[in-house]
Amino acid sequence: MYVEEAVRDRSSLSKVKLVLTDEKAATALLSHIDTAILGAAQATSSGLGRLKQVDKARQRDRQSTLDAAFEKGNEFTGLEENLEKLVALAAKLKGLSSSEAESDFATMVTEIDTVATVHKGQKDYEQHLAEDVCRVLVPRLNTTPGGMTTLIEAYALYNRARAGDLISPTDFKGAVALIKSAEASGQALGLVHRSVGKGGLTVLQLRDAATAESDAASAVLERLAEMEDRDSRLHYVTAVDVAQILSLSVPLADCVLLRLEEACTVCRDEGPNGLVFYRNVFMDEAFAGDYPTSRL
Amino acid sequence: MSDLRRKRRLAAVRKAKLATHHEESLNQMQELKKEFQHNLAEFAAKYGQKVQRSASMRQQFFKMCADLKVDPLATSNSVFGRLLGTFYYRLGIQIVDVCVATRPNNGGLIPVPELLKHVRARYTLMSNPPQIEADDVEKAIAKLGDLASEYKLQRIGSTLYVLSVPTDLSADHSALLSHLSSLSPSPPCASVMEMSRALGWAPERVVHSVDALEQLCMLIVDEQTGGEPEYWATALLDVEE
Repeated sequence: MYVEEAVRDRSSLSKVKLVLTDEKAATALLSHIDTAILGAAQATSSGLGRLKQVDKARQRDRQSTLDAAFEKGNEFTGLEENLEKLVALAAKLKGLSSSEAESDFATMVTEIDTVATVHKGQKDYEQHLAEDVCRVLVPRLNTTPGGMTTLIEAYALYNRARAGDLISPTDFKGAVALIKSAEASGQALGLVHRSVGKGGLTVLQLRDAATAESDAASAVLERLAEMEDRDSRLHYVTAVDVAQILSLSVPLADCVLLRLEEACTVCRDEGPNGLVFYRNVFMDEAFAGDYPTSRL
Repeated sequence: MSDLRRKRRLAAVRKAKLATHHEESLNQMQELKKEFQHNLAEFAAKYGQKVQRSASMRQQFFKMCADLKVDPLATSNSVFGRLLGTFYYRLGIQIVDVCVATRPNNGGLIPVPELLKHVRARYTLMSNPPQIEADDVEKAIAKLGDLASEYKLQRIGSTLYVLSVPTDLSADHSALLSHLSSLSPSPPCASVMEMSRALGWAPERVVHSVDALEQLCMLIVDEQTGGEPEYWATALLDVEE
């Protein structure tokens, strides 16, 4: 009673004196203060014991929050659990009959992997890609000297045209294979697939590249003629020179030179300067007679 | 006789049980597969962007695909392809651009750490650039190699390089470049006689390899040393853009 009064009316000195002199009253007051400070509705014990209890409760809350956060943060948990069951079941099936289980599992995985799109299957998708590749590349190659592009440049060009919806190199390769087979069957897709040179570098070229190749040949011969006019000697060009003349990449310039060689416009010389190409003087009318040695 | 009949009967019973067990397991797998398909589609919708930005999530996803024996980069016409493919296909195009841009300096042979530096610089222009690690570059190159055999990884000494020209580096070429890279922190250059002594080769063998690499622009010659000409490995030079 004195404790309650002392707590309610702290200004009352006599009541405070009583609390301070009476041990029982003082203990009761301390317990009351503990409860008030910690804000607990029901105290099972007082002082340090109570503090320890509260601290334990906070730790439990913190741990459960962390656990929940970790579960939420690991987005793979649900997927991985599902996958573990799948893999375990597949292993069990494998124990029963290895070849059947392998093929069943492989079929199942293929079904997971397939998206129901507008395409009926991978072949249909690649056919659509082949037509789209031709649609995108043909206008571009019409303005490119030689009318050709390497596969990797074609892939980069086509994917840039698609903006965000990129395709895999494997899909592009499948589309190119269809372009090749379309060419073999006489279908006009606008592009042809060609291997150039001994190394067999693969390029895509316009089906009708006569104009583009003729333009490239004219540019190269013009440069050679300019050099010859300066000092009346035969000069050569390399792939690097042709890349500069025609504003192409070096591998593509190499392909253009090899095509010009096949057309007998230039001829090669492999020597101390590496692989170089001269104007094919053997095709000149002047070569029908004695060729002036001073020009060599 | 009765023994034989009993054995045959037991074998038939065992076979029937096995078949039933197999069918039950298959049915279970079908159910699990449907659940997995549903979870995967939901995952793709919710976390697709996150997977593309975070290197650790990509690694985790690849590990999961390895367990499923699926190549997530095989085709863009699949859930796996749409989830992860776009990141690697775009990275592949950036790698091609960097290789073409640096080819005049290094002849088409670029160390992976340098390539990574250039590629990351291109991605910093994005508002929320993804994390790109050497592992990602290796995966993208491996995919490009399916299309164009000129793009491949080549180990020279302790460093991995990307080769982006249609050529094959022979063992001699690799050994020579490896020797030049081992000269670090000294400049990556040496004369024919120095290389001949260090590699234990006849000078003619060194000259043959040096000529081939010079034609590929992977070595450049410094004839103004005052003594023997020195050959510098362009791929190992730190060239500022």
